[in-house]
Amino acid sequence: MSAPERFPRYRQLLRLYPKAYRDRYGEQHLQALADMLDDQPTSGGRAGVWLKISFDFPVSLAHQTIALNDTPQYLRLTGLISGLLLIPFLAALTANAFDQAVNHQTLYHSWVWSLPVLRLWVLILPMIAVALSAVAFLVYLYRETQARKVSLLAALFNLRKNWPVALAGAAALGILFILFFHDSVHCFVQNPAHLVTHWHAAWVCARNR
Amino acid sequence: MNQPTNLLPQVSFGILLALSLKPRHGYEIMQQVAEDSGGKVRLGPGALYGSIKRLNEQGLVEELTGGSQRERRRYYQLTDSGRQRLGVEMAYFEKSVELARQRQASFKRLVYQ
Repeated sequence: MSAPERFPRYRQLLRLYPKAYRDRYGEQHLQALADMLDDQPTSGGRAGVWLKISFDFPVSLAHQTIALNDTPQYLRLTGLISGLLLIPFLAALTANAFDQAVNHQTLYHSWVWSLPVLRLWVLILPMIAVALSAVAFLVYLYRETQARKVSLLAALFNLRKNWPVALAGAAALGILFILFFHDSVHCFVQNPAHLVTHWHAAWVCARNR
Repeated sequence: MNQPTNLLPQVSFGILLALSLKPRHGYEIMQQVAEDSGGKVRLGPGALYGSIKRLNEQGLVEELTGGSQRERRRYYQLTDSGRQRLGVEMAYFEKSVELARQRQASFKRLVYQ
């Protein structure tokens, strides 16, 4: 029985590798595994080989998947920075939800929800994230369309390449969108947080009062 | 050949060293690397072929062509660049060992004087 026929499960796992790598080295993986197992006279030795494969496979898969990524460095860096800027927002909401679930109270009266800290994580950091992502995305579009002669639509929807800034920018924009158009906005500002989170509605209310 | 700016990773160096005597197939390379490192470096197929892919892209290792169709194993060999690069890496290690010996001797002189 040939190596590929001997290990159907491992062969299926190899399908997770990028196609170019799989086509070139997939059969060699199977052959090397067959040689490793054939060289082990005891069942304990063969179990050791499978244990080694269980560590070797995911690490190698991650390496090959990352190596395939042709995202430019500046997009990765900007995406990372923009993502980091959104962490305080997610952390504050998570902490609040956790406090509600465990202690049946909220963090609305804590320093996290008071100005100017609140303004920072709710508004300023997401806005910086949007601005950074937008600038990087525009640079990317310019480079792709001008230098590499890629069509605008193709560059726009090439998520395999632009995903770091597309993802971080969309998340930051989503946060701002929800804040500005939150359907729970009302005219009674019961919490200082509302001045920040629903500033537009608060401004409209104040003007109409 | 331009002087490389970085040293090769340990696994890549081990593979070049394993291929320095003759072309080998995957499992032979694994065995040779393990033997050369005194059992400290034991490669799995993923680590081995990932490194071979990188070395191949760098032009240091190439696949041996002309084998029989029935032979499933592919053999790999050093290119001229690979041989030169191995020499550069070995020169670095020799220099490091020499430096370490000199410092060890100086250290002993300081301690035992």
